[in-house]
Amino acid sequence: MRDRLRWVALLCVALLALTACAGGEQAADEASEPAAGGSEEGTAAAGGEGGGEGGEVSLRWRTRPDNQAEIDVYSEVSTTVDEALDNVTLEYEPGGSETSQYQDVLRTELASGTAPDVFWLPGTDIADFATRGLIVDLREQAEASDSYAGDEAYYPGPMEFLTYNPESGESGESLWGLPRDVSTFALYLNLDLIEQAGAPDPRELAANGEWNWDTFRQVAEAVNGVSDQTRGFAVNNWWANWGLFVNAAGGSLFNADRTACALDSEEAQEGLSFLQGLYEDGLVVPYGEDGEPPWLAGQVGMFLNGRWATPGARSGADFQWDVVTPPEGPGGIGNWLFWGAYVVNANTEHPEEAFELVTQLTSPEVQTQIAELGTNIPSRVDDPAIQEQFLTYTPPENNQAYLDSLEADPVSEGPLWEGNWTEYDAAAAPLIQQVLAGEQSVEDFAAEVCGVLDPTFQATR
Amino acid sequence: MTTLTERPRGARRLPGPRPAASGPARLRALLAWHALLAVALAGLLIGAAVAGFGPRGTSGTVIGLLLVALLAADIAALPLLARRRHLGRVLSLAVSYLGFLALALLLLQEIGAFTGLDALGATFIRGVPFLIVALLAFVAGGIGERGDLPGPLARPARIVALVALAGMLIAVGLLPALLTLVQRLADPVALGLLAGVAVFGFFARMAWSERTADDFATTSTQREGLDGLLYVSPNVLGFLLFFVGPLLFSLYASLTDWDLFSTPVFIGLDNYIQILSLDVAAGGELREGFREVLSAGGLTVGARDPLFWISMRNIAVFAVLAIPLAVLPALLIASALNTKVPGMRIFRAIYFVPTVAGVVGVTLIWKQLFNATVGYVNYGMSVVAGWFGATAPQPQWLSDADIVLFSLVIVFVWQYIGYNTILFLAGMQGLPADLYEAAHLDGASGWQRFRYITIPQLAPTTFFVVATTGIFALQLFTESVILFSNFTPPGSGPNNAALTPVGYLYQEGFQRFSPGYASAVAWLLFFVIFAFTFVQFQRQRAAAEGV
Amino acid sequence: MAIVTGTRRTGILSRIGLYLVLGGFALLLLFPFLYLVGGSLKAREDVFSYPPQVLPREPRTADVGGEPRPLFTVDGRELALLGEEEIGRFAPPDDLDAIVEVPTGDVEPTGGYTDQQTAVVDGEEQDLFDVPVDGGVVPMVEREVFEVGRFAAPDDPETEVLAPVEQAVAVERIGARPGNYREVLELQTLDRSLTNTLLVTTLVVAGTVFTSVLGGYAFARIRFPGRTAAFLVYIGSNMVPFVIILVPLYQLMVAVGWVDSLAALVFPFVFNAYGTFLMRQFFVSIPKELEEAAFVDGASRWTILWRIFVPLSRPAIATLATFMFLYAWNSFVWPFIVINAGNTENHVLTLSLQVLGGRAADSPNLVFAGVAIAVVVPVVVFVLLQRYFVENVATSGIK
Repeated sequence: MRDRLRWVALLCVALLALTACAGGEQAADEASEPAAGGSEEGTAAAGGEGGGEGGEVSLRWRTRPDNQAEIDVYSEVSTTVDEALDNVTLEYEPGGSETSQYQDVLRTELASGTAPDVFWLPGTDIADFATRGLIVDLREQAEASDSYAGDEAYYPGPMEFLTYNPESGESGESLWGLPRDVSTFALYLNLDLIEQAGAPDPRELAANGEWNWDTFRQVAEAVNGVSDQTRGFAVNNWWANWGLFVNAAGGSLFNADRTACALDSEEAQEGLSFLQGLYEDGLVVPYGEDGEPPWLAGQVGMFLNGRWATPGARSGADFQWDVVTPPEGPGGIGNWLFWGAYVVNANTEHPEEAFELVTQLTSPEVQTQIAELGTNIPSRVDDPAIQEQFLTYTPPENNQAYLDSLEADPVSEGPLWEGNWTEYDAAAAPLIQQVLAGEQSVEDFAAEVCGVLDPTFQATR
Repeated sequence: MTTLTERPRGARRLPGPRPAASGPARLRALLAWHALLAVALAGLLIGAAVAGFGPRGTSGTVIGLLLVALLAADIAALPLLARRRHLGRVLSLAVSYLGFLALALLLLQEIGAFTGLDALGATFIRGVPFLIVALLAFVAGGIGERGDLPGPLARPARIVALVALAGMLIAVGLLPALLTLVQRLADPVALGLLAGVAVFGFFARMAWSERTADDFATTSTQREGLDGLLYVSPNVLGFLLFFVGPLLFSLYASLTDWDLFSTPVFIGLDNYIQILSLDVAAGGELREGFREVLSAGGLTVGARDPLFWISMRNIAVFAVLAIPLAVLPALLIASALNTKVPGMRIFRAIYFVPTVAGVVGVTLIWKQLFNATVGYVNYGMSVVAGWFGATAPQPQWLSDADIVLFSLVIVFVWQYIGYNTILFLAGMQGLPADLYEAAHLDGASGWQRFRYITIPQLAPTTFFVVATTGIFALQLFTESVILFSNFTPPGSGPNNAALTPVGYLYQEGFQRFSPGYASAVAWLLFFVIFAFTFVQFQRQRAAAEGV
Repeated sequence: MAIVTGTRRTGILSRIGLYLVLGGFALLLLFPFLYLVGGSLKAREDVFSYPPQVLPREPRTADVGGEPRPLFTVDGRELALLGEEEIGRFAPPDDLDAIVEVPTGDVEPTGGYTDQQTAVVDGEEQDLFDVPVDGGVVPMVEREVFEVGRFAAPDDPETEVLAPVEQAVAVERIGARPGNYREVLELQTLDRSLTNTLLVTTLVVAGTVFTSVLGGYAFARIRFPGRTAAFLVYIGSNMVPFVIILVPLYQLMVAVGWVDSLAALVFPFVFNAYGTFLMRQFFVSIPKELEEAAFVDGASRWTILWRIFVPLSRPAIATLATFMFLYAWNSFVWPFIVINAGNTENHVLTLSLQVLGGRAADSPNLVFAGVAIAVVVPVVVFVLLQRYFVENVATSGIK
């Protein structure tokens, strides 16, 4: 017994000694990478010539993938781009997932100097990162670059935000990054369930121009009637979902120059009332519940989501499914144009190379490669062949639905240059929750909402 | 660290570093050393202040202050050493020992020993089979052992375990690691540090030696005191570095306006005032800048920082439900388990499993169970209700603002009830048996014995259980962040109904980048926890006096 | 006599009642784990079935004509699905109620594909098809088309039954998919997270035991200046929530360059006030005579500590080790903050699980497999060491 405890002590000592010795192997690794060693801690001293001692420049880049297939594709992209770029060694890192606070982690890493050189950022976060000085204005690099295809090569909606100069208040001046991809909402349809309900096929209604809020509601009601468990409609817990109905009613989340809340408008109220009605009648999976599990379980007729929901449906849906554009409201379809951009860390030592990387990552070839996965829609408009190619990535059969929405004047999601999007979203979420849970009338909501949300516009830093 | 703590033993037996030298010679060497060190330190500090080299910012200030303290101790040691005062020897030891430790750590840091753990992570998998063999051998060695008598397998098990441990060390690459480590030493900075370590270590050992102790006529009490300080030193120094230091810094940070990208600006108690400001309006409008937190019976309570108060309200409701539910049933189950019926050990082990299994994992399971449409909880309820011909309600566990706190309570209680049961059981097994026998003879019923013996006798255990459960409950965070990851901000739940103080602290510190404000929230939370524990302690004391 | 048997009977009855209560309670506590194990072995489509099932299932098949065909229950019989067929409802244009159901493959356009004839029905022009009826051919209009399955009993594949597939219930049997575990280990480099967690946990346990034994011994047995005050600070620190030092500790890690390194998960946690407190409490209870005898024999403090105190404190050390094991293995908030999100090489299990929970949200079977891996190790370690832990020393934390 006594001796046995001595080995425990021995084990402790051995392990502690081991940690002290363990540096060795890493030392060997680092020795083979001459440039990496010294630059790790010195973040502030980023300017100057930095590192380029004739050797290879190494760049780290990051996206937020949602599954392993995406990680594989991006790793492959990293290898291809690495080969295409001389003098640059790339390291791709998959960063977290949708629920792991990707942006917060990035900010923390930027503060401690461990963030990657190039990273993908959701469109709504661009302003916060730019005004805090965390990402580079790439205009200079773009003008010096041969490979940059020009601002017009991408969808104009995202570019308007990405070229905004917060000092002059004008678009077309700065360049904060380039859009990786775009997406719009589509309604994912459980065709089996809709047929069982005896409801008309929404795709046909859309083709005949009869796909509007009334017919949408009828289909939802019919599916709801199939059994106690079935629901006509489902959404995830996210601002864009209720935002779509505000848009479709002709309303908007902000005023025209995005400097104040506009959720108290007549139109916004109409959109929210329609949605509230759907919830009130039990046609929708309760707001806040994740819509995806019941949809994949075959219990939901129509599920509103972006292109990124396609891989999940491909592998998880045990029924016939397709997509259709969201129904037309009084103010049109009002679809969103979602996007995210590759941006460059303000503390990178190699901004030129980083910009080259960004252009490579948004090249037609890479966009096609990524779109093939099913999650993304290419963000470039300069070559119609890219879009043609996209249509062939089935299922869903009706890929045209996404492109139709993109052409029907969608509302681009975007950052708030005169406000704080994160704060806006966080403050709006509980109020919307109350409306959709039926705890508050839309009128009371309208009376209160802008008083709560307007302060988030003064919160610019 | 290990070699150091062994040193006193060796020092006492072996002759001093300079066996031939007489007492005063040793003393002169020590005096010279401290004088030299004082000059070097002063030069370093003045150089840093004038020429402006060395680290800047907060860490620079802290390092500077530490060096000043070291210099002060060093200078103070000189006259005391000369007069052969015990305090002089203590100061000398402290300076040399701390310098030795600091330089040794710096050396390890310089050659990448700490961050080298990451490399070990890659090779550690090769050692895992050996580690498992060693663990199994350890367990096997305990079979059949009674008290202090070793079991029949003790000897072979020991050999197996030792071989397995050695195998592990080799398998994870100890030898190449040692080699590269030596190579890394061949660097001017590392060599300089190594020399520093040697010099400080040499003088620490000289001051520690038995002969020096004799020179200073050290009493046995003084010797014991030094021994004690040496033994607690690894623990206390680590505690100071990784706990007390950050804690004091957090107190300072809570008095500043700071966004993590710039230097903190001292603003006094403004953070606390902002957090705690409340306004009560009877029917009328709240003052400018206040938002409603609660309204009841015509009274409206508003706060400048409503989210803080909402999180406090949530955690209060949660605690009021979760603590009794995790404690009271545990007490009853423990008394049921406290019998000599066979099979109790199996039940005890089972009850512990939810606590052991890890928050992140079990919360992910519960998230699936709670799904309102395809989850098991609602399905189970409708099945049970079906037996009685009724229809069960189908609560939205993860999205209904009135329900989500209950979901958290369920997960929490499920996690801790077994743990609490075991704690109560341990407490009950420590109670004196004769009290029960006497009560039995007096004809007391089972309930009476439970009520009038078990409960009062168990008061210290109850205090411990309630206090730990309360401390866990008030710091609730992981459960909510995983169950409600799909809300904005993550973990807040519908209408902020699942927002906890720690969650709010995380938001402020790592999402809104106000670590100063977050620290103020943390200190207020600490105050609440302290008050809770204090009240429990008072109640226990009152109960103990009442018996 | 009667009284005795009576008490024995109530004794047995109350014992059965006790087992029922304890067993029911145990089931309640274990159910999520049963669900976990079942879920981790399910196929992806199987996880989202309603009503939910604990056991994994797969569709049963039968061999028909040398090929496996899925089995369905149709009208109370188990039949194999041979294929699907499109059935049309046809009616003559002059008598729309005289509907016949014929597979659409069996009809041909009246007049051929190039010159299809039409008839006007309800004011609308509709195509005419030649439909075989009772050996003859009648031109009819198509009223409706629907899909049906062709089913047949496996032992009699010739006799086919037509029935709508949606109304047939698939026949399932219990079938596990252990492949989920392999898949999840490859995802996310979960295997690396597992070894990282093992490494971090082992070091935290070993380090804490070492420093706590030294510190606890000093607090228990050696009188040194400031002992009481320091001990009070230690006790008090147990009440300080870890989150208070979250921000400054992170800053400290930035300053020493340990952000994103496993070192940040190990070294700050091996100096543990709780462990010191626990060891001190136990050492205090060891009789003084034991060490005094050794002192007389000329043993040093170091020898006494490791030869006398440590062997006697096995339960306390086991308790401390178990506590630290659970703490290190399950800690989430700190790794979540300090380990770089992009560097999966340095992730620990809790972190990987959290990422997995978001990334594989549509495949809970994989999430379950990951959780099962993370849960099984502490449970096994606990089961092995519970003898030391549960029985002896839960109390020493209380005294």
